[in-house]
Amino acid sequence: MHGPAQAGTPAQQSARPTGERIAELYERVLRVGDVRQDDDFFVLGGTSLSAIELLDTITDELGVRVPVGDFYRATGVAELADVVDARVAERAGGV
Amino acid sequence: MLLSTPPFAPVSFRDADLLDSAYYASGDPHALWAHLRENSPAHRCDPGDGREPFWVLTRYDDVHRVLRDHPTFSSRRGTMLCIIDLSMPDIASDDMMPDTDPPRHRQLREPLNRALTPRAVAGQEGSIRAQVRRLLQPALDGSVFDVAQAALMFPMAFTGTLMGLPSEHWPRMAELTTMTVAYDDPDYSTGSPTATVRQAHHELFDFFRTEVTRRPRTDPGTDLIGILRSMDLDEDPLSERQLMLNCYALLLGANVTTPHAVCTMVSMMGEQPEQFAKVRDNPELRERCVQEVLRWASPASHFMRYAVRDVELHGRLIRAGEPVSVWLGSANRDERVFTDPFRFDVTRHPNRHVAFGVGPHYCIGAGLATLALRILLDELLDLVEAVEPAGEVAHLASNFVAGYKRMPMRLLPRPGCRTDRAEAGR
Repeated sequence: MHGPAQAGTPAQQSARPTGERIAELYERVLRVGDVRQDDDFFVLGGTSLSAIELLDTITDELGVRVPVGDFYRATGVAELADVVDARVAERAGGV
Repeated sequence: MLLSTPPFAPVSFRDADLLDSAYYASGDPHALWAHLRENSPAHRCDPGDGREPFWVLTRYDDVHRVLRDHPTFSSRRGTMLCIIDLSMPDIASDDMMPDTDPPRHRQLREPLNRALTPRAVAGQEGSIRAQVRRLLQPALDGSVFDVAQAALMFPMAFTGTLMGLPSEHWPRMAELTTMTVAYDDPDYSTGSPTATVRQAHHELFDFFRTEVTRRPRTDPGTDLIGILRSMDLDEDPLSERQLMLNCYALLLGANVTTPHAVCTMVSMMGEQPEQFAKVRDNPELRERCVQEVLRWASPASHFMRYAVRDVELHGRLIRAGEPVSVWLGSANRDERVFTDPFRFDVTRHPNRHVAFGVGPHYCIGAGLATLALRILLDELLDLVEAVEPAGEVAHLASNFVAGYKRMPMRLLPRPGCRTDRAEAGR
């Protein structure tokens, strides 16, 4: 990592750790601020309807389709980031 | 849920049992309801663990009154105890038909109702008969047949057809609707109860969003989703969210209830064959038999309302804002209204049961369900001579639905009945 993470150009964004990007997407979808790595989507006020929006946004912005069942086993920011990273790695591995 | 009959063992219960899904799988709710009707007709139930206390009304007259008196008992904050059980606020207030009060309720209901009147659904008879034959066909070779599992797909098929849902999704959708009411049942739970409910909602809403998108507002078609797409609420089209919620309400209403009336019909045919012989010989009893199956099964156990103002009932004070649950299965066994209520009687008349509810939220699919059950009865009487239990019955763990998970039965074909007839219906 180089320097503090900030929203910037797409290239800079994709260099930021997944957890930070997920936190930012939680903030955007739930319209809340200061989401931390140990925050849970539903404790922050998420619903099954806003979860649909979240998974759509993750697909659009991170290029990863998170299966619904995987999401409901990992609704915390850091946990969900692990799921996303695993999907990316899986894809990079040619699976 | 066990459909038990007296004499009942003395009842011991904790208030938390009324929320506990497991109680409905292995306990004896009819014994408890009989006790409450007699001893505590307005029972304040306090789970005792921080979850919201709620009222439990078990007598027929009180159930009737609460469901009709919508200015006093509102549907806007949700209508099922899962809200209290899981401490999950209702997200559909004022947007989903069951969670609205008149006059807003009427705006959502009327356009759908026109497509679901008994006269309108009569046109479905041929397609429902084909579904009934498809349901019974695997049973007619005399092998062990799980009525409960087969019945899950029955309402899905005719409701899926009316809604215009692609049939390749029906099995998953039927499973998801069951998850929403059996979130504590190990066969349906995906982990925690709340995660199970949320995942089921999420997947169903996703399906419905696709279906809504497929139907442009300019040319929505005539199926039920098309009707939702073309109607107005306060002079605006329904939002995507409102569309998803109301599709969900329609499918849930059909899917989680009807299968258990099907199971009850088949199991009562096994338990009391002489009654069904009487129905076979007297076709004029068929409508009454269907109504008695509905009373006996009472698949939706309760509905919930919130008191809008203070109300006194049986000497107790229900305060404004408190949740009030009314128990349909109990009302349908109320000794004050039904003669010999624990006797299954295909000749029962009058039979003013409340299995479909009562008042403005009376089940919008009642005409369709009654027709489907009537066709099922006709076909059973036509094709099946006798029904024999073939294994242990398992009950669904749900505080909302009085249901079955497994009901292994052997259906013995009638002599001279050609099972290929069922094949011809495919």
